[in-house]
Amino acid sequence: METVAIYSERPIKTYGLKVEHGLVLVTGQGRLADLVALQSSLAGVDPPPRVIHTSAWPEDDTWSISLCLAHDQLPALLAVLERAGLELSREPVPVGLIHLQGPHFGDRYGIVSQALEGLRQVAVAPLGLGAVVHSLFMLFEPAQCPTALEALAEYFSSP
Amino acid sequence: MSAVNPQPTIAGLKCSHELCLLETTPDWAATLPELLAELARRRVNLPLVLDLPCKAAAGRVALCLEPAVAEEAWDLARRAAEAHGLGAPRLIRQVVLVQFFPLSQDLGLPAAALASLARAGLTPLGLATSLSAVVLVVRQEHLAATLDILARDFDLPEGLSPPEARMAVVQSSRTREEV
Repeated sequence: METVAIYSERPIKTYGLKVEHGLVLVTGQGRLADLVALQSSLAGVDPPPRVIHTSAWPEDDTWSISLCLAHDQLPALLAVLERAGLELSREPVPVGLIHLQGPHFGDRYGIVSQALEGLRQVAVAPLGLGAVVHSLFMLFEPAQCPTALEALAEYFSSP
Repeated sequence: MSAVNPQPTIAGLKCSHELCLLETTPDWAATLPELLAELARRRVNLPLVLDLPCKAAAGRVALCLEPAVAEEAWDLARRAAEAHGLGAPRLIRQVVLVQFFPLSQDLGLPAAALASLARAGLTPLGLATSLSAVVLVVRQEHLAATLDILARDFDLPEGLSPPEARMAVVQSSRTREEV
């Protein structure tokens, strides 16, 4: 079955345009076996570190992993990564996260481009971004979050 | 007491139709807006975009695209790479996004998925989470095995709908003003 969609609203409607403060971005690297070892490394950690975003991607035989979490979860996470054999690529970086959620982000073109255009207007570049299915999140230096949020609000509306 | 459930519980498991994966070399963060703007002008939908903090501080980009527009996007990306002195991007055909949820900020869920696939000798092309779901990028030839493994190793509710998408949303080539 095929549904033809036309999206033309300005600003783009979202279910929410939210900012989270007090986060930290951790980037590490290791072999696939080290990533697999995360499962056993988490055993016995109660409560386990709560991670807001995870991405893991290979570069040749080395996997890079990036994790975004609340600052108070950092010690537990670092212990888990060390037990798994993952090395930090650099020191954890304080970040703020701005998150936008659909509707229909997964079905329409131009969402990320609009967000980056809004940020370009205020000369703010995200430290990382992900558009995964119905949500878009971007990481910023904490001091840039208010400017970024204001710029994004010009292009995206929330209830 | 172990904090890791031996059989993690998930509420849903879904997979996309066939896609292509465009991957760049590092240092693409500054070039990404230009490429995405051009893809938006051509009304190219992107089911997945990641600008990944990696070994170096700068970003490495991964995009998923419909097969019908993948060559065109690859060509644009190669030209952008050439113009900015970056390494050539690569295109991997016949990939699928496998999505399961809820994530609940639980690192154990993606870790368990990677461990299950590794035990079966399968390596995904990448993994990312949204706030609510885990998304694996897998080769289409590994899709059936991946779904079997996740259904076997994860606790899924009874009577779950099939993972395959039954409806495709296709964007009109015209905007509302043009209709």
